[in-house]
Amino acid sequence: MHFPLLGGITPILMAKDSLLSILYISNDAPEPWQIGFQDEASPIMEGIVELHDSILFYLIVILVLINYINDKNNIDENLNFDSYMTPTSDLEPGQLRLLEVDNRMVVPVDTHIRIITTGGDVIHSFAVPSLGLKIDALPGRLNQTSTYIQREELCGVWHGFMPIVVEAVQTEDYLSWLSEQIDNSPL
Amino acid sequence: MSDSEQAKFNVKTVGFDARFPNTNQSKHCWQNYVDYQKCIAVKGEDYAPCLQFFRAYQSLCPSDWVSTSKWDEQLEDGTNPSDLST
Repeated sequence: MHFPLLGGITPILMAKDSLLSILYISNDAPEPWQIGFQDEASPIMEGIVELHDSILFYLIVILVLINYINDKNNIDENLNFDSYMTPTSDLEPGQLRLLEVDNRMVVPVDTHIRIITTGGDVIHSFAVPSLGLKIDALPGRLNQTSTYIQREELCGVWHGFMPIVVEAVQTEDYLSWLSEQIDNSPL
Repeated sequence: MSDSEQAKFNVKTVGFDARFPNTNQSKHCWQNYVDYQKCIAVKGEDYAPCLQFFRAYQSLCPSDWVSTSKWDEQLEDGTNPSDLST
């Protein structure tokens, strides 16, 4: 490439830059109340400006999207229930003595579940061997742990005549259990 | 199960709070209870953002601590030791 008007400029520079950028000379200096960068004049500064522009672009897109997410939940409802061991005299054939409870703790699978334990009277322990879960339950203190159950299952533990039965079910079954419980609750 | 039934529920709990990263969540529960009381004292019970604190302490606190016997009753009696000044 060769331009008669710009005979003094080397062909290397001309091949790299477009005609437009050669025709004006950048003589940049800070201005009062300047917001952006000054025009870049080296590959390093070009990279910095490029990074800055990309980050801001995606940042703004994400922030706008987040602001659109609206919380429409209005009804707050809690579910309380007791779970006691089924007495031996009430057992059905096939049920495990000292292990069955009247109300199982039903939880959804493939979901992170927060478990908070505390004690009402003395120190207890919440333990479910097949989940690898064992956490102290102390009066006046809330101990937190979490679990993630990967398949539908039934697991329980016998611990000083206080069995725990955890029933992990699919989300749909969990929701129907929830609605059943709420419909049946005395509140 | 129908979609309408699924839409009925929005099963939620409060998220992680960097102020309370430990196993012991007692203060997490208590702080949200106090913040809710302060919030409704200033903005009124109908102010929607206060519900954030409400949901948090409802998720974290044992009902024994809050409604059944303790904190709510103490508030009514004026014997709740928490600093609720705003």
